[in-house]
Amino acid sequence: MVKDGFGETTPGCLNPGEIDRLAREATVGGLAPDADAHVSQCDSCRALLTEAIENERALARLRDSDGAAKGPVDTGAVAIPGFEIINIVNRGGQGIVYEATQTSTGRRVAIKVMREGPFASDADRVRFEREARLLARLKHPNIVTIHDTGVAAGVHFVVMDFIDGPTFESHIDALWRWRADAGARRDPRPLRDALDVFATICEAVNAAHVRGVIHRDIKPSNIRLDQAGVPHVLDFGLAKTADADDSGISMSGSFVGSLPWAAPEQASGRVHAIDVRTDVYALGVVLYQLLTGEFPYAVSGAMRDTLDNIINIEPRRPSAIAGRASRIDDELDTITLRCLTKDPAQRYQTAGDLARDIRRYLAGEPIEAKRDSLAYVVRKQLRRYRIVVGTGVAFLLVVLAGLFVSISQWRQAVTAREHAEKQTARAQAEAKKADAVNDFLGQMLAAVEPDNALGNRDITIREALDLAADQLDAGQLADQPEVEAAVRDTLGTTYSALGEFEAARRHLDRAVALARDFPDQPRQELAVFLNSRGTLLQGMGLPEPSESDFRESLTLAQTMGLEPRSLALCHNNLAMLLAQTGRLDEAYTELSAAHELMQRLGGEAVMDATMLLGNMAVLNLERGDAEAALLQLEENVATWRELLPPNHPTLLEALSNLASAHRIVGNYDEAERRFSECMEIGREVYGDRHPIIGVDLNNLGLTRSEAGRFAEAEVAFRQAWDIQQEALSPGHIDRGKTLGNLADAVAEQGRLEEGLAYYEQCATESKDLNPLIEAGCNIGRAEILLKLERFEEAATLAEPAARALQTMPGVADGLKQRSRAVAAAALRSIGRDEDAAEFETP
Amino acid sequence: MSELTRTTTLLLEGLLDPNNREAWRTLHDRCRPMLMAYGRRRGLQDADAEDAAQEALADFARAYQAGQYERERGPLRHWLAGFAARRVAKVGSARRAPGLDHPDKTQVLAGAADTDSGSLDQVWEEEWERHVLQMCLSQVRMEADPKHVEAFEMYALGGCSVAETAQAVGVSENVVYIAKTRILSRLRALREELEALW
Repeated sequence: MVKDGFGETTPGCLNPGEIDRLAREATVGGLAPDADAHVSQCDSCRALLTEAIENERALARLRDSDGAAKGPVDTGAVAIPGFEIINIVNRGGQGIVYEATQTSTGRRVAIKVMREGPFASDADRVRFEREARLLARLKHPNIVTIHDTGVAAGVHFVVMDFIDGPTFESHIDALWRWRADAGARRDPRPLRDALDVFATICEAVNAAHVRGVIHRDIKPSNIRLDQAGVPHVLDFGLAKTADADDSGISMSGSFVGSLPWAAPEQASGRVHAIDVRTDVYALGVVLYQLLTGEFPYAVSGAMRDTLDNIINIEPRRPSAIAGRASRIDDELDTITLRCLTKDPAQRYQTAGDLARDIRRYLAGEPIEAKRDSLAYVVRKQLRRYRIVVGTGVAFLLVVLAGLFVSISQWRQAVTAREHAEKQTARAQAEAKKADAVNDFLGQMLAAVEPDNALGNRDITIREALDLAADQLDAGQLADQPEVEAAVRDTLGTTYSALGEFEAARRHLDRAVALARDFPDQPRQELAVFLNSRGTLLQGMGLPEPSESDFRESLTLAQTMGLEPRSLALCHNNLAMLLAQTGRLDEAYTELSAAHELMQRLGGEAVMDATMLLGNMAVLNLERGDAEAALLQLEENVATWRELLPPNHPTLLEALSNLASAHRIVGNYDEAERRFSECMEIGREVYGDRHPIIGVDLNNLGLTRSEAGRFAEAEVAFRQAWDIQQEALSPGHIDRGKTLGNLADAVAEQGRLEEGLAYYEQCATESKDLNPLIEAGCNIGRAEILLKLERFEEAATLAEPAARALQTMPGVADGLKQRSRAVAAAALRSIGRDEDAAEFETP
Repeated sequence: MSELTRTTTLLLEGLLDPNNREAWRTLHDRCRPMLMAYGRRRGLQDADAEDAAQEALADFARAYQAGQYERERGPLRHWLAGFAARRVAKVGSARRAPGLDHPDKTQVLAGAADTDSGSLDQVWEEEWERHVLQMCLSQVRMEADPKHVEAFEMYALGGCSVAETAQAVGVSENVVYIAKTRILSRLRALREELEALW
């Protein structure tokens, strides 16, 4: 008897080979299923044979159709020069993928021919070309490399690596087939290996993110494993390049075939909310599949139901689905569910963060997600306790921000030289400490429950902080100095953020003092706390002790061999302080060191390196090396253009800086062109009436003024003023600048009284708020008054203003000189020659 | 429900939304080769077959979104066939010099005229069959055990012997037969599912 197909046979019944033979004979020769003596007597074999004959007929049709498909390969009637098409690998939404051979090298490649025709717009093509260029530069061992892109007979194609291996989907399936065996489930290796592959995938996705490329269609079938089991992410960026319509991505465009991996923001059509965290969500769905073999919610019903599920259903913990024997613990649950949070702000903010947590998990280190979820619970408690929600939440966010900085810096500070065991021991100790910090903060928040401690009234941030401080001062953590120091660092940073500098300083002083007594010096915590205190002292306007802290922190970081990113942070902090105190050359040296470290790091650090290069350029402008600044800014803009979307605010800022540099070196036409470009993008990003547009207009006006085109300058200044009057409050520095510049442009055209009135208005607005602007305006007024021969008034205004400007920090040399000249002229005009001489000597 | 049926259901739902460009692209990519093959077999040159395919799809899109399709009147593929036949006839007649009769004209027009009554021409049915089977085969290739797929391709499609296949794939001969049966049974099941949708 044959059961379950060919699972088992009994004597007398036909074996699979015989059934197959009979079926083929029946199909060719037209024999009836019961022509065989045994079959005519055996229901089971007859049923199998009938099925086999049906299959054979289907096979005949299939051979027929397959033969047709294997005829001339359809490349949309396009031959790709230099390649010989071998086979069709896949037909997808964006086009057809062929396996091909590069005739010159014999290399096996995959060629994706983008679908052309009535659906592809020019915008699609432009976007495709841009992203293809980006991707071609996106060299990453786990992203399918793009070798070439081009157009052949109007059809766009991309030549990339051919990955000869299964998709991650079949890998997951295989894992689940294997784990179906209870004995196999006890072996942790396959799951760990799969998680390792998954972390590599996340790192690849992150590498693309930092270059401004979002995948938007991550799913297991878009990931292939090569023969060595190394994952390669396919269809990066291209996935949606061709799909995006003019407004971005068509609302449901990404759904066909990929709906189960869509994030809530995609499912609800909020296309503008799509960013890197959308990919983090899709990675979460993949991780969920990896751990459970299932989707986080039902995705097989009607599209509308699936959309609803994505938007509304909270997934069950993977461990609850996979069962207790699955080796899925609380930490894996936490990591997965954090990716799948409906609110993007609650997810891992980058795929890199997700990768790091998976790696931490695999290394037995504490995961970051856990802390956040704990904090989230505390925040929910806060709401229940009727603390003013806005205030309470803001406080918590500040506290947590501080906590995260400290923890992440601890973690970053683990040196590469340490051995694995030592790392693990250290990580566990850190985890313990971080838990203790969290416990303390949790208790502190519980203690401020209105009904418990302070009666039925609202709690202020300050009170909650003070309560924590009192508990610390009362010695609650006296027996755990490392925990106390960490809590004090957090409190200090929080007080500092609230502007409570003295309280902040007390806690940070204590944290530093405690850290100096820790065993096993030197300790990276000390470097962290010194950085916190240095930042505070800088904010308090105490540059000397701030510099001392930053320098000590930097020395510690160097002697301990901290990882380059932390070291770069120390250099940068010191550089900012030095720049603030006018030691521009020293600042530049530090900034260069930070930049070099970041640049060497590559990968994710490319954004930081670019940012630092921008800072170096601005510093060069201040140092008077405009030519060097110009070169750096050109490079800066070019890099941002590659890394960021064309309307990104950071790119806008870099463009604006470049335009200013051109203005400073006297390339007025180029400056004007750049400022106009800035405004164009700025209007697109911020709208017509945003203060940033006002700043650009002011810069444009200044460029024209310096070029001697005062009437045109006036137009720009008036437009800027129009925006700023509405958007900024009186006394705002940007308003002051524009008004002063407008006054100057008007006066230059001979309308002296009008110019004077603008200067007066500007000086009045800026009084007590912006001494520099006020003094500058008074010099302008004095200049006009001299022309109007109102000498007494001119001298009264010019003398104190010029004196103030000589000692004020941050005043440009040009303004200082001009103020001295005006003051001297005004004083001479009323016969005070001696006083005037004082201003005439440099 | 199979992945193929699920994506096809999503596709059909997606087609109702005129802004769902992805759905339309998918339909275009899936049906264009079939429509082109149909046009060619109806005597059109490649370029004309391409035009006819594009226009038939556009006609179909407009009518489908306007809610003109009624399942009670017949399967969706027959309805699509009507648009295809009309466009093939139109493009064919427009390319011919006025006054010259074309040998295929009668057949083309007959095909077009017949579609509404549900009696479809053989060419369309054959092309449809090819198309659906290839789609189902792709799906089965994705879901089946890779060894089964390999064995099936060598033995059932490639014409290798059982022994040869078993040795190459590293399985027993029995498994080669099992692979063939399972894959073909699955293929037929998928075909039926798609037939019900289309």
